[in-house]
Amino acid sequence: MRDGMSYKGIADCNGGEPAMKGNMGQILRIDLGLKTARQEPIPKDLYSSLIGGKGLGIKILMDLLPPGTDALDPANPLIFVTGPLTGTLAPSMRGCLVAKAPLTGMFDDSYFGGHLNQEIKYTGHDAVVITGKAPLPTYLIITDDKVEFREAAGLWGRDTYETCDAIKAELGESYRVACIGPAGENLVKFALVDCEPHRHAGRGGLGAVFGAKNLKAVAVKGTNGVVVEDPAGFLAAVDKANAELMASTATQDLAEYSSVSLFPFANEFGFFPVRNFSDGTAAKPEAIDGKAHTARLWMRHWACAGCPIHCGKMSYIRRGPYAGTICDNVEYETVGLIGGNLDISSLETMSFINQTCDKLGLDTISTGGVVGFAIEAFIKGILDRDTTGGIKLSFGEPKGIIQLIRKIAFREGIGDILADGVAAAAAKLGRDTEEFACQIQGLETPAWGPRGSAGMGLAYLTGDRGGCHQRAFPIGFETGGSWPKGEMADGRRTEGKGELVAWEQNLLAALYSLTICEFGRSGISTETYLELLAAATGLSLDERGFLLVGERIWNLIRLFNLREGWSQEKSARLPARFKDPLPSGLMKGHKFTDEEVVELIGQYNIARGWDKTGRPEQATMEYLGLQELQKPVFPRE
Amino acid sequence: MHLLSDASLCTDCRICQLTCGFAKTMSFNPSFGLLRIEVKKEGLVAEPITCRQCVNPLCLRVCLPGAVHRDEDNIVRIDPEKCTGCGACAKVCAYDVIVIRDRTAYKCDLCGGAPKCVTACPTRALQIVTEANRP
Repeated sequence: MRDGMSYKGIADCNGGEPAMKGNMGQILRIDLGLKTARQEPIPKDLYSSLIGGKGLGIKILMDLLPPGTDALDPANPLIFVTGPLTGTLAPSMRGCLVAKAPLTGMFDDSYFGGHLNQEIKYTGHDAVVITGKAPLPTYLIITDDKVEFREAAGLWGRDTYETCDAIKAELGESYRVACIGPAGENLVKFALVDCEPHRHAGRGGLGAVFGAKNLKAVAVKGTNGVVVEDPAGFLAAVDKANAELMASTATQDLAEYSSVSLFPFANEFGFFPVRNFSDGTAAKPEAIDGKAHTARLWMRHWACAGCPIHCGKMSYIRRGPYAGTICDNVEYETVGLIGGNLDISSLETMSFINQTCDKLGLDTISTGGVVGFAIEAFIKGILDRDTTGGIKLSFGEPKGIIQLIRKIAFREGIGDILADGVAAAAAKLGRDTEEFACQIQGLETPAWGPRGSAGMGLAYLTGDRGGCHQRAFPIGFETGGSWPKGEMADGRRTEGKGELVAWEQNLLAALYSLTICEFGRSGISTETYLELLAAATGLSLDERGFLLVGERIWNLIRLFNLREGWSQEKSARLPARFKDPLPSGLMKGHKFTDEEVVELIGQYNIARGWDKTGRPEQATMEYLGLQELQKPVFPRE
Repeated sequence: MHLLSDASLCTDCRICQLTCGFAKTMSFNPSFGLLRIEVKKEGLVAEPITCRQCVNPLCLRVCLPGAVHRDEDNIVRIDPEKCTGCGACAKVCAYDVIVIRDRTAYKCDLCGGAPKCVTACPTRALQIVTEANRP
């Protein structure tokens, strides 16, 4: 028999005060130490000024985290946050987990696919906020507004797949599960949170925040429905969004080949990471491109909740030592960091390493960066068999790589040093290793090497969660695209990049307040997103107003990062690797000079209305209403 | 006429469930949909489970108030006026696709002949099957 349910009107979820539709009107706050849970209303004007998602996430984080608190302190709140379109038929929405990041010490909003965040919204809350530390390993069961704290001793030490399966066996298929693996338990600073079904809040080490709270998993079931302001208008906007996705060749490439469809482009220009970013093009691209994936591994398409794109691919390894493994395909970032960066060209091996990281609970981007760094240090004689515990490390050799990955997850020997990320590992190892520690603002560089894109370099230098490719993607505008102000200079030139990066960061911050997936943006226009928002909530914004929300969110996060100790001088730097000329690809020869970095950041600060140190000027604070927004809404206790 | 699915095409996106649930309740939650998806083989397979408008509908057999009936188009329907919400039909349903909400049972009525889930499915994993081959 299927679970019964009783639909609660939206007014019931907000103490009788109707929330802005599309939203649930309240947050659920859980304290693991006190074993308490309570609901708090969200003031309506917060929806107008910050919308939800990323905007609501930074607001809650700013209010709840005592300034200067370490990311692994029990007071660091884990904030699962949804947006007004989450859980509806609006195509391609993701989940968002916000906290202060262990890896960077900065704000972190980590987006994940799957079904978990939708279920969180169906519990009747726009956000679930977890603070405190359980005295013993614990997992949480959230059923609508009911919270149960259950002992997780039997789950501690188990991998993410086993943990998810065990909890679902216990609670039933209708619960959705988020959990950590051994890496999160061992406070690896790039540990991920596995969100059912094995999609990941990957970047920044939020899995370690789970671990520091003795929190193994969260199981969620919600029986509430999301209602919208204008149902007919909403369905019309959904149809329009779907038509835009169908008409976009970029979207259809994602549907066919996943994000791996981006690989030939990245490889041609020289953005693809090869051997710890020492090169920018793979030697045998045809061995690892989308067609090779389809021919060797592909079984069927897979999609996140409410998404028609189905960029996910389920695979079955047919050949070699890992034959018989059912796994997800490797998406572009992992092809870059585990494939190119470690010089693994067998798709089967890449897929197996990918799943090994997923099960241990490690972000594959940072893992590929850290392992690539370790291999280079080994080749240069800075690490040897004594320091690695007998492991011989070399590019293209999976055995040593897999052994090292396990050592990192369990913090054994050299793994303990590497588990803190490349920046910390280089600081510890010394001997100029920071020159090839490929990280920007503490975040291991993703599979878009910045050489060949001055805009990308600037996006990395100014990203709100560190050097991330998802906060602005100027490459798209520098390689032939145009932006609202016309043509953009190519990636080797600096002019116009400050304005471009600030504009796209604002737009993406606004879109992330809806918890969009960037792959949806490959087809859906901003205009259509605004139609979806208006029909869902009644909040009618033009593109200018929407960009203003994004700018407000971006500035608020900068204020948070400054408050937590971020400084431009200390953090906005490129490693020496990116100051050497790019050896191959269309952008061959491009490199960053110190003067260019200063010039780019200067342009950017002017475009943002920030002073020379990257702090919002008084006038900027005023027109964005930041003073008012910094006043606490959610009480710490 | 009834619904059939092709598990090899389903992507587990739940658009069918969201569409169905919204048509019936004007609110979004896939569990409001009158079909469901079973994920199996370590996530390799997702199979939409639909109401077959059974030849021998167990839901109809157990309904004491006579709310479950077969209409002139051979669609098995539930009359909400007669339904007491006892849940017996949901309990015995061979495919577990009857939902009890607010003390009333709901089942697939093929949207009167043009099922919205079929139109909404991005990969055409759902289709309408006619009665021609039925015993």
